[in-house]
Amino acid sequence: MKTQLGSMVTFESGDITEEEAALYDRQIRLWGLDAQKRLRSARVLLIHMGGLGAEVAKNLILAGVKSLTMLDPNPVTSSEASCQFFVPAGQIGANRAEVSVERAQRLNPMVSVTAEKTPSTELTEEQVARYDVLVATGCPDSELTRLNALCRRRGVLFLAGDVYGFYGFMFADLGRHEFAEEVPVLARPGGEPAQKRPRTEQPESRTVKRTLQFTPLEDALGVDWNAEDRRKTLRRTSDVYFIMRALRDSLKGLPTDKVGDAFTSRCLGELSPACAVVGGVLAQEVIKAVSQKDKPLSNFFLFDGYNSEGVVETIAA
Amino acid sequence: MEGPADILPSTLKKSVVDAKLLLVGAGGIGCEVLKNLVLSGFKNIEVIDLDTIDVSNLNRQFLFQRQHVGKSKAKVACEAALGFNPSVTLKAHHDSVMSQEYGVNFFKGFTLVLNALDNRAARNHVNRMCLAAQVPLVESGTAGYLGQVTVIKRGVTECYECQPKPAQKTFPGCTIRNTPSEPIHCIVWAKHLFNQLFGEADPDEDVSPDTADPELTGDAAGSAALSEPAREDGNVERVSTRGWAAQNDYEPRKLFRKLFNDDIRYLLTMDKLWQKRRPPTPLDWDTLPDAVAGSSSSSASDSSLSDQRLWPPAECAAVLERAVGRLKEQLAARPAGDHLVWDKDDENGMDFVAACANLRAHCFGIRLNTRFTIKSMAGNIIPAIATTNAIIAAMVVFEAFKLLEGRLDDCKTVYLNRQPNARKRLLVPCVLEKPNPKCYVCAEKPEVTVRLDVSQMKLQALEERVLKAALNMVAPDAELLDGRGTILISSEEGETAANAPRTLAELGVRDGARLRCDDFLQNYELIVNIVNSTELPDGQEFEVVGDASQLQPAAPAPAPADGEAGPSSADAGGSAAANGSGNGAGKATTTVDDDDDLVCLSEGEDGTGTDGEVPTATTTVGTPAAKRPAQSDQGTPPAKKRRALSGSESPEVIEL
Repeated sequence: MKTQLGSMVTFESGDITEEEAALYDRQIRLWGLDAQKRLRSARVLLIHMGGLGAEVAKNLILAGVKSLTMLDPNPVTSSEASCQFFVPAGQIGANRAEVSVERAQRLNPMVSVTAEKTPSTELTEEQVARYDVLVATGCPDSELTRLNALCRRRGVLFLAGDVYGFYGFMFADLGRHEFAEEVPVLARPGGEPAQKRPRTEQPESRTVKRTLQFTPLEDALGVDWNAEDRRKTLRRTSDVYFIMRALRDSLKGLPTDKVGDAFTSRCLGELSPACAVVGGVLAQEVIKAVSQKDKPLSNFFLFDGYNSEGVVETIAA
Repeated sequence: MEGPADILPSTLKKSVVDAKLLLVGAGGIGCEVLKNLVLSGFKNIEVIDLDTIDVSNLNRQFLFQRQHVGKSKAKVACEAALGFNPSVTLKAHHDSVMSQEYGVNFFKGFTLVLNALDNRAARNHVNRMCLAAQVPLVESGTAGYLGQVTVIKRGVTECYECQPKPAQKTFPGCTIRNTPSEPIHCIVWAKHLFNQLFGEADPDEDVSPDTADPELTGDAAGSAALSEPAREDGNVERVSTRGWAAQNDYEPRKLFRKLFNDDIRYLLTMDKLWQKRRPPTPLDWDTLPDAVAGSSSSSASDSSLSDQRLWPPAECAAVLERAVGRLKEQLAARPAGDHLVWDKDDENGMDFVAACANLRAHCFGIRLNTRFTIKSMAGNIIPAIATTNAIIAAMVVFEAFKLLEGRLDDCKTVYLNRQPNARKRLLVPCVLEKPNPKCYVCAEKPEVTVRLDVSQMKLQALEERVLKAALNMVAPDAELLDGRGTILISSEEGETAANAPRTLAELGVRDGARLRCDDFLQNYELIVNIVNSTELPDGQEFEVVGDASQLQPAAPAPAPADGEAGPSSADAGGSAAANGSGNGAGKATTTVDDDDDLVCLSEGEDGTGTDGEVPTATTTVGTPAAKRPAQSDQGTPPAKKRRALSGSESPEVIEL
């Protein structure tokens, strides 16, 4: 499936124009022309345009993906006033995706920005297959696992996230993912010690090809934390993961000592800076995944804004 | 009615609504911070930034679009943020935060100050203003994938200047003028050449052969000059480079011949220089190679972009010819006596530097680079992306929440890593450091020691390069503590002008002298202890030492030991040296220009860049990066480690 992505990318990449080079200069200096070319051939489907969706959309449109489709059947409510910067004032009741298009498009005329009102629950496998990446926000676990399965079948990269007040998470299932990683080159054989070498502009590094196998969300959520063989892992697993589970489901079946209640006043709504952190990480993971450059975070990122902490947990069956 | 603050916990809501904030910088981090503040329920915010919007900002400074290019960042950012919530009160200042208008009383008017700057000089200045005004400061910076946020509160935490920052990278003048061995030496030379020909000529930026090279002993240089038949003036006393160019009407071939043939041949006569080096080759316009040596070259396969293609020497000469012609016209269009200012984003100035740097590299057998790469190095560009800025800006707001809730003990220095550390953290909170009792800025009675040669240094250099550039004062007064209260420098115009050209020794400043220096704007008084020294390491005209106990030369810092966080320091040279690490390079300096979002505490991207951007003469990225912890989180990084990092190389481009 991944090869499908690879071939698509190669097929679509033409030369970067002078105009693109000027606009994307500062990021091309970071991730290189090839990554930028892959990025600009990526078609992204973004589900739900709440505060988190707006952050993801902003970051991906600025980065220069080929197209971004914002899918949302819901009307704007007064709570969007607190976090959704694409929604102009006085638009309560209008469709969240449609009303976001104009301001989102202004960020970068080179990206095709569109809106769809279909509920995500009605998305078919064929529809999902029209995209290279699917990012789902604001969906219950049942819907995420359904979408994740559709993506798996069609080789579409799947990422998801949500924000609860000061807390938030990101999840990624990139299937079997191949990527290039730069690793520092250790002392040259027979060469002089590092300090003696003339300092050049860049530390030496070489690019290696790596592969990472991801776990579908359903399997990750199916982990039985009370099982004997999970005890050791449990001790080292971040509290924030369980706080997240508690917020999404209920306390049922979860180790309750991991879930305090001092935080309850801090897990309401989509707090703007929490959306910015999770949306920033989510978008960066999309960029990494599409450009096949750098090791992706596998497979959960968990954010706790009360303690200014962001943890990456690998949770697999 | 429902407002954004309604989702905040009750302990926070009122203080958010009542707070008055100052946001310094409306670049990469600043735009994101402003959005978060407005959407979080803050009602009263002032934004200051002296910069205007550039196309290269648009990939991340999302409050700006193409039609805003050239406009004030502060103003456009405030207008855009009002669109998110028209009921907030925003005030934009299109101005330098270092201007006299923004004194201690101005700063006292705010509950908190949030820095989103891209250069060290402005960071140092705001640090001092907040210390003086007793207002808590949240500092931030990014470089590429890395970022950092910290909190500064007088008497409780380290201030921005408590720890040494990596010094500005400088090169000895003779390396630049006589014996370049790396591309950066040629690039620095080309920027100096630009200033000599079109910009503000600085005697420290001479580009002609340096006969005072310490490698030459007595007779070599002098006799070489006399025996050089090609010299047009036949005289050791030389016409200024600018004067010479003007006399020749900036004729590109004549310039080329002087720079890449006559001067190179002159260098060849200094044979001591070439006993252990490959001698340079004089170039001839008509026989330049039109293919790149080693062929199949080119860094990026994508050669449709002229920036990314390696120009062969013949093409460099053609670019030089075109650029000189256009720059000459630009200069002629200015009022008499005025000059151009080099800017990496000015096409002709950048073409000129790229072409000259490569031609010089070709003379010396140094690897040529693409214009794209030379631009990074010459402009000291720190790469910047929207996602890193968005994450760091959000962490700025979370620290601000803690301050407003009275949770000062919970405030942290937060690092954004490229990959999770050994404890799985991507965003790493670390305990704030206590103030350094010997800090020359925030200590009760700050003192600093400066080594210099009192018989060589002129008072003007003390004021410009030590007090202003290295110690970051804006308008200093200085009094010699000799029992008579001799005033050496007065910030009142003209009062002490007669002293400027005199050496310190002539003014009675000797080894062990104490100077009381005072900056009224910063409300900052500093005792400067003078240690006379005639042997400072290469090219330095002075050295700032934190305190006298550190007088032994600091060991060169090892490369960063910390693979995990992986940052090398991003500090680009900047004018201000921090405690104990200053080196006054009187000679050639890579002046960094700009840009960036920098880090280490700094993002401003581009000092241009920075996302924070504030303007000052030299842009540096100030990065508080000096202390990125390795794997430890929640814990103070060991001092050793920090020191090591602080010495890492300053980057031509970098991540932190």
